[in-house]
Amino acid sequence: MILYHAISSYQLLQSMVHKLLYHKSKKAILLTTNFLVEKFPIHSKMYSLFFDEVVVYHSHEIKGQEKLDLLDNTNDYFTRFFEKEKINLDDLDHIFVSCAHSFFGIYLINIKKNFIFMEDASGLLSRPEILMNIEKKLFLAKHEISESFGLYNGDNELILEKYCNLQVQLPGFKDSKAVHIDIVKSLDLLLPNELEIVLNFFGVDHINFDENSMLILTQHFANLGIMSFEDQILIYQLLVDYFSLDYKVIFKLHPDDLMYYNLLFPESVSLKGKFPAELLPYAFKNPPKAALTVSSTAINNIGDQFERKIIFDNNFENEFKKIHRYYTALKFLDLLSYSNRKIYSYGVNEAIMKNLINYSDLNLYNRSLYELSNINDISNNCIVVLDKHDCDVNENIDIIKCIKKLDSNSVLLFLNSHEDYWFYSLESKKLLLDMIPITINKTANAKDIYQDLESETIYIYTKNEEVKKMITESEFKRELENTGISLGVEKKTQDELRIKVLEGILEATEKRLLHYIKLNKELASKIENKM
Amino acid sequence: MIKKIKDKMFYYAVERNPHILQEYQQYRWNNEELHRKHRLKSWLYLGNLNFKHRLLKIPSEVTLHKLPEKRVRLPYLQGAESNLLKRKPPHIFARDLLSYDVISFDIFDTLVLRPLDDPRALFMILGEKHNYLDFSNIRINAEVQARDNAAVLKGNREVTIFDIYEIIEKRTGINKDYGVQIELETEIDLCFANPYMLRVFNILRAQGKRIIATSDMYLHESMIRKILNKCGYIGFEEVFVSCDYNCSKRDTNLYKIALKKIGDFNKVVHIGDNYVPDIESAQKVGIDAIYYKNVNDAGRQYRTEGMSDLVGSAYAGIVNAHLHNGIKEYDPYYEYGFIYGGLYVFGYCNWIHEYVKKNKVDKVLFLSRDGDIYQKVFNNLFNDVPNEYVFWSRIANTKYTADVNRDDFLTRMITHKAINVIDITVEDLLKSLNLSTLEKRLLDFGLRKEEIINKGNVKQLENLLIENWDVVIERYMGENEVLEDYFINVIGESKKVAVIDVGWLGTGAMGIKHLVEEKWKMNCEVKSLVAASASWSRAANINELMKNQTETYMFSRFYNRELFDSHLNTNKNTNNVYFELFTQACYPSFAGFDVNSNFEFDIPEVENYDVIKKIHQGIMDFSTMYNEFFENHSYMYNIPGYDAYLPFRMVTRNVEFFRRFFSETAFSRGVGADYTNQRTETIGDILNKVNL
Repeated sequence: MILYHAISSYQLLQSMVHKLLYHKSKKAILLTTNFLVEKFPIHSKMYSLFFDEVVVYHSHEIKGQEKLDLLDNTNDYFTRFFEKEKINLDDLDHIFVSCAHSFFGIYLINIKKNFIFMEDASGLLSRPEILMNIEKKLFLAKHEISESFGLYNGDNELILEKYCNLQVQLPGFKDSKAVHIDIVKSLDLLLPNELEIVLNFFGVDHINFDENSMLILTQHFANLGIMSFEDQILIYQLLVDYFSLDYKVIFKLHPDDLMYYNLLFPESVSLKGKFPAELLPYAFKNPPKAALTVSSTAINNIGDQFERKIIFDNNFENEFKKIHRYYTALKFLDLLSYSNRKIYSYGVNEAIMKNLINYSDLNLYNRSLYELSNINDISNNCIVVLDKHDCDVNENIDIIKCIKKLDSNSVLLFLNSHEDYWFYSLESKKLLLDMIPITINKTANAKDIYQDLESETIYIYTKNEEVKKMITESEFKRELENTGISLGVEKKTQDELRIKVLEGILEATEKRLLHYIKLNKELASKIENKM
Repeated sequence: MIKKIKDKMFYYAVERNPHILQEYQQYRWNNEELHRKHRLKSWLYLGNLNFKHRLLKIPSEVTLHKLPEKRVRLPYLQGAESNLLKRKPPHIFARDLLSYDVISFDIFDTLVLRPLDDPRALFMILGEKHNYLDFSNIRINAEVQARDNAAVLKGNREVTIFDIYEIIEKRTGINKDYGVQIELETEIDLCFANPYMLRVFNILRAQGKRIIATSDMYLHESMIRKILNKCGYIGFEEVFVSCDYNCSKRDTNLYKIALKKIGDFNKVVHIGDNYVPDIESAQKVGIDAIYYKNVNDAGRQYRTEGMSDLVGSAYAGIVNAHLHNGIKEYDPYYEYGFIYGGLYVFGYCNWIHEYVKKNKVDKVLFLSRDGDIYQKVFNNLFNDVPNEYVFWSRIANTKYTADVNRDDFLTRMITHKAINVIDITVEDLLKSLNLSTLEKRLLDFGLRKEEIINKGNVKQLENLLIENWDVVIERYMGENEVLEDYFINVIGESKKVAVIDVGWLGTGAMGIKHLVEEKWKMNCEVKSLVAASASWSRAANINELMKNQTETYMFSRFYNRELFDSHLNTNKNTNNVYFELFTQACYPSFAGFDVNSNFEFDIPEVENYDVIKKIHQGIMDFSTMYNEFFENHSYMYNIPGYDAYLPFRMVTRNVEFFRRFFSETAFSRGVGADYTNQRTETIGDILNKVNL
C-alpha cells in the first residue's frame, strides 16, 4: 500500500499520473484537505479510478501561535486522525508527499518517518524562497517549523528522494536526491484511455482558440496573501493594457483564483474548469500565439507551446506599480530615436524592461539590454536606465561622481521608483538642476479604478543641450483602457519645468530631513534610556 | 397550527412594540449562545421588556424617532474604527461559500445600502419631493395601518407599497401611483451596492454559483430587481419578496417557497443582517445562515447624537457604510478626517458657496494653510466661483499690520513666547523677527541675548520693542510694496472678495481688509468668513461680528452659543489645536517676504506630512461621497453649522484619542518657532503642559 499527499490541483494531477505510471497495481490512499475536495468533491466517483481510498483532513483545525504548541497540536491531530481512519503509516510501502511544508510533512518529520518529496509545482525545488515568502505571511510559526525541518528544499535527512522537473530548475541547480519527473511528458506516457480519464476528472474541454490569442495564466495572489484583491485586479489590468496589443485575451485561471476576469475584461474569455495548466496542451487544437504569466510555474512545463512568452518573475508582484515609469523611460528612448544605441540598466527589474522592449507598443523590439552590476561600469556614450532602493552612502557618492564625469553623448534615465532621490546630495544639488523631470500624469476615465492617480516623476540627465530640448519638447499619451486611466507626459514651459525641478529638490530635501528627524529621535530615545 | 400560534404570540409580545422589538433583537444578537441553551432566560428578559415598555411606557434607547440619548457616546479608541468588526476579506468570505450549491442574500443592508442610517429618513426626503409637511410621519403610520389591516384581512402582516400609498392617498390626496413611483425612484436613486457584497457576488457569479435574493419587503420583485440592477447586481436566478408571496422570511414560509422553487435537495446558505429572519428562521428550515452585521448597528454607538434628523442620518449612514462594510480597513488619521472633519469641511464649503452667490462676491481667497483642503474640496464641488490660494499667516498678518496692531504684535510675538512649551532665547527671537539690530540695546533693558524668555523678563522685552517701535515698523513696512503687488495680482479686478480662514477671530482677514481697503485703497471690499470664532478673550471680535464684517459658519459669541461655550470651556483651551489638525498642509507656514522680495517660510513640519495627507484624503472622500449621494437632492448640502461641529465635539469628549494617535504630531500654537533648534511643540507636549 502507498499513500499520496496532495493539496493542490497540480499536486493531485502529479499523484494521479505517478500512480498510473509507476504503481498501477498497488493499493493507494490519497490524503488531502477539505480545500481540494471542495474543488473536486469527494463524492465524485472519479477518485476511485486512481485511488482506493481518499481521506480528508481539515488543516484549519490545527492551531497554535508558538512553534512548540503548533508541533504538539499537529502531532495530536494526525495521531487521532490516523487512528480514526484506521491507517497505520508503518504499513505503507511508500509515502509520497507533495507540499512537504504542510502540516502532514511536519508530522512525518516529527514522528521520524521517511517519505518521498514531490515538488509543489515545477521549478520550485530550486526556488524555495517563493514558498517561504508566501508561508511567512500566512502562518509564521508553521513557516519557521517548515524552514527548520528543511521542508521547503527537502533537505531533511528523512526525505529519501525528491521528485522534480530538473529541466526547469535554476541554472546550476544540483541535488543528489533529485529524481527527474516531467509531468507534461509523463502525461504522454499514459494510455489513451487513462489520459481521457485524467482529462475528464479535471473537466478539461477541447477549446478552439482564435489563433491571434494571448493566454494569461493567472495566480491567486490575494488568496495567498501576496497582495490585496484590488492589487490583483490592477496587476492584470496593467498587463493586459501594456501587453495584449491586438491579441484576444484568454484567461486560464489558477485553480484557486477567484477573480472575476469576465467582468473586468468583458472582451476576454475565461477558460472553464479548475484544471492544472499542465493539461492545457490537451485542451487546445491550435495553441494561442502568446502566453503571459506572473510567477506561474506552469509556464516552465508548457512554455514551448507558444511563439511569444511574456514572463514576469515573482519580483513583479512588488514592482508592478512602477511599470508606468519603466514605460515612460523607454518611451523617451523611443521618441529620441536612439535606434542603434545599446541600452544598459542598473538596479532595475530586468523582466519589466525586456518585456516592454519586446512585447509592448514601443518601437524597441529586439533591442539588447545589458545589465550593469556596478555603477562605476557606466561609461561615456551610453544610455542607462537606473533605479535603486536602499542605496548606501558609497553608491550615492559613486553615482554623483559618475554623473559628473559623463560626456554629452550619455543619457541617464532615473526611474526614482522609491522616490528616495538616490542621485541627489546636498553638496551637489546643482546636478539636480540639470536634470529634466518628466512628470507622468494619470487621469481617470472610469469611476471604479484601482490605480492611484498621483503623478509620478522620472528624471533624465544629459549634458547635451539638443537632447535636452528634444526631451522637454516631447510628449505622449497612452490610454490604458482596462485600468481606466490615461497616461500622459506633456510639454512644459521653461517656468513649469523650473518649478518641477524645484519641487523635486524640495521633495529630496524633505526626504533627507525626515531621515535626520528619525535619526535624531532614535538618538534622543537612546540617551533618555541611558539616563 | 402550533407554528401559527407561536408566530402570533411573537408578533404580540415582540414585533408590535418597536421598543421591545429593537431591544429584544439587540439582546438576541448579543446572546445567541445563551438563548440556545437557556430559552427561559430569554423569555424572562422578554417579560421584563413588556413590563418596561408596555406597562411603564419607558421608551427604548434606540427608537423610531431617535429620542434623546441617555448615554454619552464616545469615539472608538482602540485603533481604526473600520477594524472593529474584523470581517473576513470579501474574497475569503466568498471562498467559504463555494461549497454551497445555492447562495441566498438578504437585500437591504446586506446587498444594498443607503446613505442614511435609518430607512425611515428616506421618508423625510420624500416629504420634500411631495412638498408635504410631516410626510415622514404620515408614511410611517400608513405602513403600520396597512399591516394592521392585512393582519385582519389576510391573517398576516405582509403589505405592498400600493397598500401603503392607498392609505396615504386617502389622508393626503397624493395620487397612489404617483406616490409609489416617487418612492421607488428615490430608493433607486439613493441605494448603492454594498462594495463588500458586490465583490462577493461577482466572485460567486464568476464561479458559476446559483444566486438568489430573499427579502421581507413591501416592494414587488420587479421593483427590487430595478434597485439591484442599478447597484450592479446582475444575474439573480430568483428574487423572492415577502409581499409577493404573502409570507415572510421571519415566518420561514418565504424560505420554504424558495427552497421548493430552486430544488430543496440543494445545499443552500443565506446571508443577512437581521438576526431573527435571516439567521434563526433560515436555520429552522435547514438552510445554513451567515450573519453579516448591519453596518449601522456596528457604527451607531460611535456616531454623534443630537444632529438634525436628516443630516444626522445622512452623516451616520455614510460613515457607517464606508467604515463598516468590511471591504477595507483605514488608519486612524484617515478616519479622523473622514469621520470628524468631512462633514464640517463639506458644510463649510457649501456655506461659503451660498454666501458668495447671495452676496455677489467676485472672488474667494483661501488663506494658507487652512485654505489648502478647503480649496480642494470647494473646487471639487463647485466650478462657478473664481478663487485663489493666498499665502498668509498669523505671523505675516502680525508683521504687516504692526503699524495698526501693536498690541497684537507684542502679544503674539513676545508674550506668547514666555508661555511656550519650548524655550526660546532672546537672541533667537530677535533673529526670527529679523530684528537682530536690536541686540545692541538689550543691556539697556536689563536683558542678555542668551536668556530664555520667561514670565519674569517678558515685560522688559516688550518694552525694548515699544521703545524701538520705529525700527520694527521700518523693518516690516519696507516689504509692503512686494506684498501690495502680490495682492494686486491675487485680487485682480475683483470688487468684493471673501477671505476664508478656519478662525478664530478673523484676524487674518481683518489684516487683509485693512491693507486692501484702507492702506492700499484698492477699491475692493473684503469680507471675512471663518468656520468658527472663539478666543480666550471672549469678546475680542464682538464688533466685527455684530457689524457682519466677520461671518461665522459654526459658532461665535452670539451664534450657536452652546457650541461656543463648550468649545472654549472643555479640554483646557486646547480644542483649537485638535480642530486645526483638519486644516494643516504639507508645506510650511508663510512667514512673509525677505529683503530680496522672496517668500519666506516657517519651519517645515515634514514629520506631519504623511499624517496630513491621510487626514485630507479622509475629508476629501467624505465630501465626494456626500456630494455624489445627494447630487439630486441639493438641499441636503445645507448642513447647519451646528451639525457640522458635532462630530468634532464628540471626538474631543475624550482627548485620549489625540494622545493615542497624535502625540508625536508637531503643532505650533504660537507664531514663529525655535529656529535655532528647528523645533516645534507636539500635541503630546501640549497635552502634558495642560495636564490632560
